[in-house]
Amino acid sequence: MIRVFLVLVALIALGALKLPVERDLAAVHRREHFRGIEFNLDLREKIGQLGFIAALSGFRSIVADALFIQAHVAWERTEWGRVLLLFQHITTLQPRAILFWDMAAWHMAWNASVAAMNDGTQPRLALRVKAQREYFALGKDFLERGIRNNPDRPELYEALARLYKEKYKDHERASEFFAKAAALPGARTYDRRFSAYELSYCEGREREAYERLRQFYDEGEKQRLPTMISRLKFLEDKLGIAQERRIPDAKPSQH
Amino acid sequence: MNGGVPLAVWLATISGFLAIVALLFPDLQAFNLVDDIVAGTAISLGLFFKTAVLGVFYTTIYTLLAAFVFYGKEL
Repeated sequence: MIRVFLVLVALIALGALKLPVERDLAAVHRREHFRGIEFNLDLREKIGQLGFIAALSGFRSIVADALFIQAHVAWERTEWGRVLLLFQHITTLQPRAILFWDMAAWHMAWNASVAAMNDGTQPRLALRVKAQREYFALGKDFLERGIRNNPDRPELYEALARLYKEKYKDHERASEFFAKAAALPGARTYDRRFSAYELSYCEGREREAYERLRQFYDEGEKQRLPTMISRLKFLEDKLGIAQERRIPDAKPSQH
Repeated sequence: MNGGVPLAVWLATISGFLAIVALLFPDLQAFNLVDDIVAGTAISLGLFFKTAVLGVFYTTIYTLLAAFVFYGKEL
């Protein structure tokens, strides 16, 4: 009995020593966005009893992968509602996997939206457009939630920029998100350039776009790409830049 | 809550119980990094070493205490 008592005293004393370390580790986990999943009744309803038990017992990534395969099959059958539902489960289970957020948004905003627009069973154009916009919004929602879960990764900012550019034709927001992607470590080198390209389409921000594009152009030959040159020439005309300050015309092809 | 235990007392009891649990038992959730690794998340060297040291600490302490309790007992 004395031994047990002594052990309890030792445990309490050592517990007081370990608590700050555990608290510190938990803070690091939160800061680095680990433990991003909450096992609650909502998730239990979504993934079913067996899946929930599997997820609880440490097979979260395997359950997510199995659901991802099911989502792929649902996509092949163009069952868009099921694709949406499955990707909601998958992203809940694996909120740190960029691929799942990106794929979910792509299915909604690109594939399902086009299918809704070409829906032969819906004769009214207004309703087809409405369905299309709803799928755009679902894609945007996936990307925004993905960014909230992975604010340190550039891929989803870039995907959201593409969504604004190609689906919403909102060049200002596209430029903003390309710039956010470019500011993060591991971003693609073209993100910086794309941000300036998108800005060049925004009414009233041509001067700012011109200065950024000109800065890239002046960095050297590697930056002087066809789109860069064509956007610069467009802005030079629009802003009435003096002839001596304009970039030279492209050299004729050597072929 | 007429006639029952007031909510504040319940909350204090539960908090006290949880504090004792946190004091006596190891936080094994600290070692649950596998899902994030599978998802491609980089684990920093600092976090890795802190977790490893905590693991060694838990193993040593709980093994020693268990040995102390069971030493000389007929099992």
